[in-house]
Amino acid sequence: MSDLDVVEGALRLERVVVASYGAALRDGPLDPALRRLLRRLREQEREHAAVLESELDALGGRPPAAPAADALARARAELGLRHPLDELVTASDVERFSIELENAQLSLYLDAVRELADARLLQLATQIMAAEGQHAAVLRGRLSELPEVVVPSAFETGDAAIP
Amino acid sequence: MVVAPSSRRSFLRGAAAGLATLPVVPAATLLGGCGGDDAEPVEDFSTTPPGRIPADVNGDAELLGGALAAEHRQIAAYLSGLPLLEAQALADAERFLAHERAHAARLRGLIAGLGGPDVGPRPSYDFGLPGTAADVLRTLHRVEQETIAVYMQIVPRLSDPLLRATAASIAAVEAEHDAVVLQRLGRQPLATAFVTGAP
Repeated sequence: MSDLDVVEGALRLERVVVASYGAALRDGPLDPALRRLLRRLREQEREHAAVLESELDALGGRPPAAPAADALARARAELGLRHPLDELVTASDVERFSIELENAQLSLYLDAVRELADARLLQLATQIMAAEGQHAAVLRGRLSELPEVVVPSAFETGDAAIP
Repeated sequence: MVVAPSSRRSFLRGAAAGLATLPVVPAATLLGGCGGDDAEPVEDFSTTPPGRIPADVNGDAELLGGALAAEHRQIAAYLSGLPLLEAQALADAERFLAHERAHAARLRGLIAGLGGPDVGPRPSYDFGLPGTAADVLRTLHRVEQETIAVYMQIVPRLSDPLLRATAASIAAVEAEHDAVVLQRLGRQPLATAFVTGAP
């Protein structure tokens, strides 16, 4: 897989994640602290998307379109995201929904680090992966105080069970 | 010189009497029983500032050696800080210390597999004179950031994709540790969209 393909795939996922956080902010049962957290997460994912779009442009690629609201469910399904958009009934549902998003990104960036050739893109992918790890840890921390739940493994792979 | 104090808390308080450098627990404790070779570990990166990998360090084994040196420093930081922590912060630190030992063990194995020299812990590390739990947490935050910075430098320079993935997966966990430590300090855990570690 070329660097262009890797960056394009990352951008596609980031855009779906941004739209997913938007749906949760719009429809989910959020207390003020959770709302602030989701806004921060969405903003950081937007920053990731912006940088990736710039890198994709430099590679000569065409940015994938952000999913339209009525196409988000299909876009999520195509990326293997299973938590239904219309089942955000409790705050815990939103937190688990969000952890799935972060796990998907962690897994993608771990693959990206294996596949990328360009040193600058490698560093970028590692920086973003670390940020997604922080997102996941903070979200897991809202579901449990146990350290084995908040940071479950010494090696982050994006496949930790959702609490 | 290494010191194995009977009471680590009283030792830390006594250290305020004038020592600028905290002697660290014996190396065997630092390595956490993770096994070792018969050969004595070769201390490397002894003059490298925390958070930095010299530009002339090349080769996957040497780069991983830099990461291992950082992990040794982290282990020492957690060990020296545990006596001042309580409750949830203590539980977090104990788990994170186990992670750091796992990182060190993995790195030692990878370096050995590459035929590289082992990197042992330094005889002592200077973490200042923490007197409170908050002091310890601030030290752990700083050390985690420095370790993250090391991984951010080595990942792009590692030639083997699997080694890069291992290093990146460790870097992500160090970032997760740091986020939790920041929360314990009452600070924003998600400071930046691009985690780089210490400048």
